[in-house]
Amino acid sequence: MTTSKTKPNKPVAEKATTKEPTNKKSNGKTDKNSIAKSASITPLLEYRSVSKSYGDRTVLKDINLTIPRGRIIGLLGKNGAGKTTLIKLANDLLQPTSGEVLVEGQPIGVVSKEQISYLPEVTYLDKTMKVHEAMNFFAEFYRDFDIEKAKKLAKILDLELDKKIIKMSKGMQEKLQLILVISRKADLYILDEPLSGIDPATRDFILDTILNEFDENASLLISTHLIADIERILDEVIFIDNGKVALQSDADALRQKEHASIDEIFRKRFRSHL
Amino acid sequence: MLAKLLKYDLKAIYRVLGFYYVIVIISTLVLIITNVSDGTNGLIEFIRSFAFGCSFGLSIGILVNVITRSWQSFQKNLYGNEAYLMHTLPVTKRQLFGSKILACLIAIIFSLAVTIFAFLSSTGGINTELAEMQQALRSAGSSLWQIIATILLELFFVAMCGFAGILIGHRKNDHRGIWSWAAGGALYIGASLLIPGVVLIWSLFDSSISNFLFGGSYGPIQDLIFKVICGVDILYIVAISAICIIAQKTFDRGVDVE
Repeated sequence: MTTSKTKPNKPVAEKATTKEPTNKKSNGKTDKNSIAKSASITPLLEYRSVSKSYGDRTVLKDINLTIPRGRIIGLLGKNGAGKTTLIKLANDLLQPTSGEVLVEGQPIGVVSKEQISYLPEVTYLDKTMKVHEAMNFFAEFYRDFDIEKAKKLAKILDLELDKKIIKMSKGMQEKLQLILVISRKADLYILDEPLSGIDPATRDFILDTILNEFDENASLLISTHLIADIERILDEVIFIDNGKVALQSDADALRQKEHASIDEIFRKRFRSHL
Repeated sequence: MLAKLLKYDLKAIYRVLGFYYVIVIISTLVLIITNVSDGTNGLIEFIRSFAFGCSFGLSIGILVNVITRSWQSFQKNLYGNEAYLMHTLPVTKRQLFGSKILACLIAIIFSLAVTIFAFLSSTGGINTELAEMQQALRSAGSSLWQIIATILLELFFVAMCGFAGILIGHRKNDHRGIWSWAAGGALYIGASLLIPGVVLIWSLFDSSISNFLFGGSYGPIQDLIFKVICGVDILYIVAISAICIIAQKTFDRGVDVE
């Protein structure tokens, strides 16, 4: 694994539990000025008064949210809060009951799908394919897919190119999907629970790979329950609660304000609801 | 992009259908070879009977399989786990839908070809059977190509009703499978009733058809049969086109993948 020269020296295992701001991603673009500056230009992803209902059941209520460029954002919330629904709306897998979802000011469509690299929670590949066939599939449909990078990552993660996906364990299938997604040069990466099936030893490698391969102009939206593992890379956090945006804040500012880690803030906030 | 999608859709259909083709073709070739026997060799007669059963039975199975497999692939690709990939590809809805329909049509054409080959080879051999069939159909006023076209249209019509049914049924939040079957069934029954209904209306303007249906002189039967079959084929094409438009418009409204 290669590491960026500008990557901080903080040990991978150390968690963000101190009052001091934690290590940021290597480009250091996490101050409030950059938030204000990025807010003045067209956001990469925008939810405008988005609601989603299934019959009588409302899952998302009047969501107004913007995702700017160049940020790593954690989408956090309890089970059933609406995180996956929010993500699926941005990927044309669900239609909003009201409101609209825009990518750089345009409705979801072919152009937005070229801009977004999405990793869902489910295994979505044709399981009769082999690993190299899945890579060829992505190379055929996505102009920005770097097949050599994908092969390199597969080798590092011990994925055999000739192995059929159906013969791989769930964890290996998830690794493959992650490799396919991060091997694209997208504007926005949306990862829904990218680490849940990954062993702890590999998680840090995955996070470091995401950071190292990450284009500074791109954005990354991660939905996960493993907050302690990812909070060191987050620029911003969004808390979703009961279908609404409960909080959207700069990660460091929030830690300073609450004098706690994001993980602790999350636990405190949502434990009080139980 | 349509060609790329089509490639993968055909692969999905032929993953299993290909085996059926191979078995039917091999069985039919065995049948052709064993047909030269004079019927006195018990072993050859047994092999011929077995090959006939495989060839005939699997031929029907191919036609059923091509439609059901197309439906299954359609549902899995657009509403199952694979939907998370298909709907996020940088392709238009028209291309996604068009690829599935084209793949089904191509598979039906090839499946029909294999079935016809199996049927015609099952007795006297292809050339003999073809000649006899052509003669019989000509004297009835039709032709082999007209009958094949009608069967092809009927099969594609059934497939399209299923696709449209899946798209309509999956707009519901619950019991999507049941709604899909209900919608597809309703489309099939509705269109199937409409076609003879249109022929009845046609009979009001064409005395030969009216006389044939309700009694009276109608001229040479061959001309009438040819005319009516052509008319029914045109109605199938209109019905398929209408269902295709309904399905595309339903799909364009977007999906809700669970």
